[in-house]
Amino acid sequence: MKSILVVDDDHKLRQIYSRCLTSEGYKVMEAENAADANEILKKKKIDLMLLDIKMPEINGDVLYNIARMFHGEVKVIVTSVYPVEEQKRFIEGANGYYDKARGIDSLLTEIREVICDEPSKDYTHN
Amino acid sequence: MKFNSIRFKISILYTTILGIIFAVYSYALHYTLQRSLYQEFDGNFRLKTQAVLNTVNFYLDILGYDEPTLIFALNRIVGKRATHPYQRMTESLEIPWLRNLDDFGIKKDGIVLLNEQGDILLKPEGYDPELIKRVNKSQSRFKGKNSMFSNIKQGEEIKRVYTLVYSYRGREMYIMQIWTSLQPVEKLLTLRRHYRFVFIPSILLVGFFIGGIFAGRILRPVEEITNTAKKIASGDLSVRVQTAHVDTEIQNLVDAFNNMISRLEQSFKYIAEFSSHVAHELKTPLAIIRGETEIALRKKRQCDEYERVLLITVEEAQRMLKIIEGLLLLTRLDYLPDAFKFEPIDINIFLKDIYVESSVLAEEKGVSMSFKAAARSLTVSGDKLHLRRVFFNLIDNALKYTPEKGAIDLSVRQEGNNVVIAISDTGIGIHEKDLPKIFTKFFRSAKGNPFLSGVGLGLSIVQSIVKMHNGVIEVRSTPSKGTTFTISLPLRA
Repeated sequence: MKSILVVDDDHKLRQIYSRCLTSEGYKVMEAENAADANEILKKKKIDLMLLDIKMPEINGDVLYNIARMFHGEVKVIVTSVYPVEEQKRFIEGANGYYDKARGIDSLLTEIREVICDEPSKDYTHN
Repeated sequence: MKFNSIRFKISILYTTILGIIFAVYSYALHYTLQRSLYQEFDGNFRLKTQAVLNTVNFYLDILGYDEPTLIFALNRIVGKRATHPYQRMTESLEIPWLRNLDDFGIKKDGIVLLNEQGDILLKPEGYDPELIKRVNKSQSRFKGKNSMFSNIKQGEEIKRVYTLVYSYRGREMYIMQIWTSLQPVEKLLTLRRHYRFVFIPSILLVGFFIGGIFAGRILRPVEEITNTAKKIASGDLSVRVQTAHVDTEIQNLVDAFNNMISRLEQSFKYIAEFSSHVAHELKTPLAIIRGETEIALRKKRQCDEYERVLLITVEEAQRMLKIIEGLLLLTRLDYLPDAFKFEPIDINIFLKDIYVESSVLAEEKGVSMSFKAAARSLTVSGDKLHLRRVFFNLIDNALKYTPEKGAIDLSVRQEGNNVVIAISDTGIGIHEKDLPKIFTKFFRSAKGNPFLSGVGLGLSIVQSIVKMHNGVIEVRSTPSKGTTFTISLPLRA
């Protein structure tokens, strides 16, 4: 089972992603800010992180850099209300970009594309 | 320099004015010079003529008067050979006479004698009788005087002719013309004229270029304004026209231009900010609505699940509406000062009303509320509608975050020329690090501080309104102890 970490300061959006992804068979974890997300990244094995850009205190791009430095194996899809082109300017080189207004189906497609890129392995979860 | 440029036109104007001044000046100079030269020349001419007449009289006195003797005398005077039956009588005498006349240069001149009928009795060789007669005819201009000067062109040379009526001791009248060369005078005048034709155009040419340089200097800031405008057109609104030591009028133009650009820059910034807010803040509720609805539509659900989704939809729609209204209000407050209608407000009475209205709400929530008016009546100039919004917003916030049995205090006092209104609560307070940011649009505290859980525009609106009243809003807060907002407004003069 692939594990996904949803990082977003809007709890309603977190809940939507969480419910949807759980029903799709993913193991979902939530973080409402970058600090919490970093704690989870340190402790758990995460396959994919859905990362919001604009959050209070620490923005998504900082967390992205930390993740790239210390948790290189984590795939990242940037999820934001900014248009994708602008997201690419904020965070360069993420595995995927998703405009939040595009709907759930397109998010699922994006996630499948990013995760299936990787040759399948066996994971053990704590 | 382009022909249709202001610089060219200024140069032309400058040169034309310079040209007219020079033309008038040089004409006047020429005229006065000519006059004085002629005066001097004619004075000498008169003296010479007088000497001629005296000498003629000497001859006639000694030799006796008749026409041939007169002609003989005139011939001798210009140094010609002539014969007279008694010329021996004058031989020894004429040497000093003629020497005296030689000093006048009489030998270069020509003497013409006519009788009263205009017949030529004596003329130098080569003199055209027609010319002589023409000079003579113009004697009708004599009128009262018995002498006159005139100029006549003989061949290439201009001659000054002195015409006079001569009569030896009251005998018959003769007309005598003395022709002398005007060359010294004419030479000088012609030289001056030539100078003028070289001098003035070269001065004008220099003037044209100097004018061009001056005009260029004056207009340089205009060029700079043009370049700046071009830069702005290509998208860089941060540029300003830089000037130092320019004329007042140009400085005013530059200032007005720079101010205009500042306003433009501000507006563009605002538009950029506004669209970013609209994009970010409105898309979040939209994403929630879409997400919830799409999940609900994936399969048949229970009735209460649909109800939950619909409630979320309504909630988010309301949030969107609040955001739009808030942003539009902020636009009006910040960019349309006309949105304010200022009138004198007695702040004691005004706040008392607000206190009475809000204390009902406080009572419902179990929060006690107090109001302390200032000792004397204080008047500020303000917009009632907007100021009500300020105080209701702050009291509403205080009510929201003050638990039961808490207290909200409203007080008015005077501090110098300001009215200070304080709204204190015993609520949950605001974290210190959030305090500087709470007036920022859409600011939301980390860890979901419920104090700021709205759409994040209320305090921005409050601050904008206070600013438009030339007031200041400050906040002090201790977490879990309470918050105090103080608004200071200038007293009405």
